[in-house]
Amino acid sequence: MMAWKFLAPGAIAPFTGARWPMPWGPHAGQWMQGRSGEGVHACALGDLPYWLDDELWEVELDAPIFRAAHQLVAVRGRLVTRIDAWPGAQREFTGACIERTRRRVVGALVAAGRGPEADQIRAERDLSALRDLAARVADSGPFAIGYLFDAIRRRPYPGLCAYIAANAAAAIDGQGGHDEERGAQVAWLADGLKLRRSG
Amino acid sequence: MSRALPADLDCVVAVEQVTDYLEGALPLHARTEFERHLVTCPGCVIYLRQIQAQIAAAASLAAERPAPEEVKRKLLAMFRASRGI
Repeated sequence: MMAWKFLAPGAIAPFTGARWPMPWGPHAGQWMQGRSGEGVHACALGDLPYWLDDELWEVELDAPIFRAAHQLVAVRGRLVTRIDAWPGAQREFTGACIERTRRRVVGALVAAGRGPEADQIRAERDLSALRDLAARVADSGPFAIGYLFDAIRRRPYPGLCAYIAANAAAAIDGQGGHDEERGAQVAWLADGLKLRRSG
Repeated sequence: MSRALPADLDCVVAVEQVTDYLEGALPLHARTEFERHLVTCPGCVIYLRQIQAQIAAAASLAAERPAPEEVKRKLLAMFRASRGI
């Protein structure tokens, strides 16, 4: 089964430090097994926003494969090809997370009867100015506006920026908003990085 | 406003779990929660890196010598007292 995996630079597992064998020419990397029989972890398309890191690889997983929370677990896996568009597209991805959060925040402000502030947030084009504006509005109003400030501040960390966007959506629109935001992130990654949707 | 989502793992719990994580002692669900927390918490990633560096540094020290029984007994008593057990 083909799936995806985020890794740190150099095809290194970001937290355990395990080094994945890289593909060589047209050949996939050597099979990698998890430590102590734990298996290896990878992502289906819908899992990707939960595990963002610097390198994105297409991986082949060997059966048996089972689903765990936000990930696939297989006995072994191997790297097939690097998705070259990532991490170059990180800023575009986080920018989209911020814009969706902005739209939600504007809607929340309008619903709260704070139209002038909603107009200001909607109109601001400079990201640093928008961050500072969001902080000022959050100080005097609905706390959900603070998520916009946080999403901009944490833009260098795509996984955290995406998480903040999802939490903003949950705070404003409940579980449905959260799922919608995570779905938008998946769609962005699939389309923006041209990932096959069968994975 | 109440939370719209279940509570995520917080940093205090994550720090408690670091050594179990590095020893492979966390069950799959807890390991997943721990790693998902790391994706969203640069501070805890730094803490994890520090512990990994300490373990690597300790491994390069002189050969391990067993601690005297009296020292072990005192350390265990201090640990239990700190946990109220």
